Amino acid sequence: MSAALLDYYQTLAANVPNEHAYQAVGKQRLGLVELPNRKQEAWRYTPLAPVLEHQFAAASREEGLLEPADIASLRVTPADHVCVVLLNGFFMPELSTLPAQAGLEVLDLAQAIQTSAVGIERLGSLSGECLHLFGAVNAALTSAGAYIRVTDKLAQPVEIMHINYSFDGEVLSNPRVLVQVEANASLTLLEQHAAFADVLGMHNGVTEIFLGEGAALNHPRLQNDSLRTRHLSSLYIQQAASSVYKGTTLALGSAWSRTEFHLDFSGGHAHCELNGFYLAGEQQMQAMHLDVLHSVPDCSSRESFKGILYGQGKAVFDGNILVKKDAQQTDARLSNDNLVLSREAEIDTKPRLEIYADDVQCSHGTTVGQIDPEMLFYLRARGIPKSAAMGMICQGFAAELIAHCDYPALETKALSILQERLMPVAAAL
Amino acid sequence: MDAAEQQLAELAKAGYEAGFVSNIESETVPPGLDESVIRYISARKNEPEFMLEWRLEAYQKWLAMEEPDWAHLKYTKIDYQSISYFSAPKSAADAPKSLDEVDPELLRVYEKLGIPLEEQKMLAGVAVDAVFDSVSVATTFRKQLAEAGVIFCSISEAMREHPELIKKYLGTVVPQTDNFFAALNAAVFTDGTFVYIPENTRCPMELSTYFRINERNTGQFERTLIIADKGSYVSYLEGCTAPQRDENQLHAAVVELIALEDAYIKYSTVQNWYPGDENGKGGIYNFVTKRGVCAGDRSRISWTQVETGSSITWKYPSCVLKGDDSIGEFYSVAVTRGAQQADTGTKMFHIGKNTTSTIVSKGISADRGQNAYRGLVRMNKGAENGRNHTQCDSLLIGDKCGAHTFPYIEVANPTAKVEHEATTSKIGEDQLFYCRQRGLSEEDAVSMIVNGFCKEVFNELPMEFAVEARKLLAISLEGAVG
Repeated sequence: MSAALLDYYQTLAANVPNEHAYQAVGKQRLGLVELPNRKQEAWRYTPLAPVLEHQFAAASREEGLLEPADIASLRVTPADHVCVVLLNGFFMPELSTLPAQAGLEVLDLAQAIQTSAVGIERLGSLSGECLHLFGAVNAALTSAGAYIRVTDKLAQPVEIMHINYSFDGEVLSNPRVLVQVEANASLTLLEQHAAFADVLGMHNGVTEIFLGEGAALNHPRLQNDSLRTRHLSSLYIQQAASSVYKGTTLALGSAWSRTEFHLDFSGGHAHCELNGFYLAGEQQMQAMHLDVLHSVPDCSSRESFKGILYGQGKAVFDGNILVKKDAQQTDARLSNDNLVLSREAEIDTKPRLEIYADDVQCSHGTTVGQIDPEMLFYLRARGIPKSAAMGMICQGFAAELIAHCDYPALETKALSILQERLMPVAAAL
Repeated sequence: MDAAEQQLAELAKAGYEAGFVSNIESETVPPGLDESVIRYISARKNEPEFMLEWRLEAYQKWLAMEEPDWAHLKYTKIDYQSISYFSAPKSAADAPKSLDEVDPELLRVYEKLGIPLEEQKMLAGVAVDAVFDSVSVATTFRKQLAEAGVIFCSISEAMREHPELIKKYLGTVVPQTDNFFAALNAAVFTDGTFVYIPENTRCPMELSTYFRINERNTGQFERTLIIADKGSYVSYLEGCTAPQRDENQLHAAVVELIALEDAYIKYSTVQNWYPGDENGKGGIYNFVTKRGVCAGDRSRISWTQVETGSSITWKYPSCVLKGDDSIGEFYSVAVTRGAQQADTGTKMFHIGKNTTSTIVSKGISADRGQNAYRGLVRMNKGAENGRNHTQCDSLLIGDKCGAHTFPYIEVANPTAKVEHEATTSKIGEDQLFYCRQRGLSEEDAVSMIVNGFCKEVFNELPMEFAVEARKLLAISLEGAVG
């Protein structure tokens, strides 16, 4: 299987012209990378068969598949707000809402490359090493995606919607999104991954985010792909001095899902907050992979992840905070809490700290447990049936994290999906 | 590899023919490892046939294995063919004639630890005619132990006198192929300790390698096997606080513990091997595999370790909690300074129901020391109501050191409860200031703070060991701040 898959992707890549330098890097890496395997620390607990035993066809642009009305039903922002729609990775202007707004530039990535939009040279500079096969595949196969640049403090949020839905069946989408929030600008970027039908494709997205000095980005992400999809999101974030990044990822969908965060600070007094919630039920696999690098002094980071597991769900949490030698006065806190509801579920968690500076404060905490019988008793003593009580406890556990989205419409949507998924589970317990 | 090279040069000078030196005074096999070396070791030890087979099997498997490289350690590759795998105790001719010839630095440390002169001589390897009065001490001990039915002897002796126990238990906890270093040990181990505590017996005293004088230089490949039969209790102390010189650079020991129903084994280690010079040159490489199995219901194994020596430490004392209601514990203080590197931690495998494990790890890094905690907590499917609590704290002293935590948690049972906490920080300026303001010297203040930091672990050590460990810690960190 292994060599054949590499050959397959290499052949696919050979037919794609290079629009931008990062694609050449991707192709080169494709010739060098090893297939992900469980001996590699970063893939230690992630089951790989679902993504390595399939040869997905590369997605192509499909017009007329969806109507703007289809998008309206998925949106969480008001209809007049900016909404970028990527169908199988391709920027769809006819489905998107793109009103002109001062301080905001939104383009099809391919177009941004052609017109040499400001800052386009940054493309691929964070994901440059293409850490693994899929990173290389993303770079090598397409220049599809979106380009977003913000130069002002934006009051209205921008929504970006990834939809995986194709006539061709099992396709592999490789979107790339470049987000640049320039000095002192700010933005709320709502990201949704939605399914239109029970598709069985693979999403392999790369997002690069640059925050200028004093910039701020709130970035809630709701991943609600079809329960048969494979989903891999790699986020690369670089923060200049005094910038603030707040990312909240809610991973609810997909059969196999892995979200990678690679965050680095380039200037002091920057702060980042990474939050994540994952729901792994039925036969789902949810993996969260964190790589937070403190390479400069005086930065702080908070990483807080929670998960609920039921059925035969499996979850992997692999969080790593690396504090380099000169990163004095670093303050980093990492926590991971898991609620396991069924006998067959499994959680593997690995919160790591690697510290080479002495004047730092770092901590991590992990818990794995089931529903506290005392909590259950408390609710039942007040006349709440067992299944409803269980549901309440799970909702409460998740709600704390979901609230970090700071966008009520998205929070409500996430909570209702959660409730829908958990109700039958709680009833069966 | 200096020592080995030197040895090789000496051997070459001696115009030495192929084959083995069978001279009783200085028996050393030439460097290198092949089947004949293993046969020689086994023959020298008068081992039963099954042991030789077992060793050869391990050797064959070792040949096919690769040296692990996942640990957070940097060291020059070990050349396994340049090591001599059998050397009897140093002959009196090589040893320093008196304490005047011993490294004054070493003596200063002995002084600080308050070690009596005679013992200092022994530790420094000074040739002494008679091993002062510990002979008589040991004899009394042996008598007392024999009365209780406890078997406490060298593992070679046990192979000859209790082959049935060896056959039944050796390699059951750490199999030959467990890992690269364990396989090497299985093939070439030269000696070690064997302890058997019979049913419902409380071992009348704390057992210590220190008093097992029948074979003093157990060498670099040590193997320890402790079996606590139903309802028994034993506390075993390994190592000693005084720094020990050793000409062998590579140490690859294996320790196996077996606790049957209701048995309790308490294993305490103080490791203070030579850490090498400022750049770690000449320091000991300590690659140890330690594992205990709580085979019976309600059994308990407790590991306590104070690691201050060695230039490289690779050590994960683990517990396999097979019996229902069994308990595993791991308490550790690891200090790295100079160019020392430690990658140490534990593994707790929860297999039985209602099993509990506790991990408390305190890492202290100073100068350029690199200290990593690496731990695994695994709750198997059948580990109903398994409980684990892990606490690992790191203290950093100086801006060139590193402290790392790599915990792995795998849970496959929903009734299991696992908690992990870790913190890393430096010595609080305010704490230091508070102590200094009350007239304590900086050194005393640091020692006090560090001892407070490690208190949870020291509390687990047997009393006199704990006192020594405290002093040791203070000496280890002397001059680290300032």
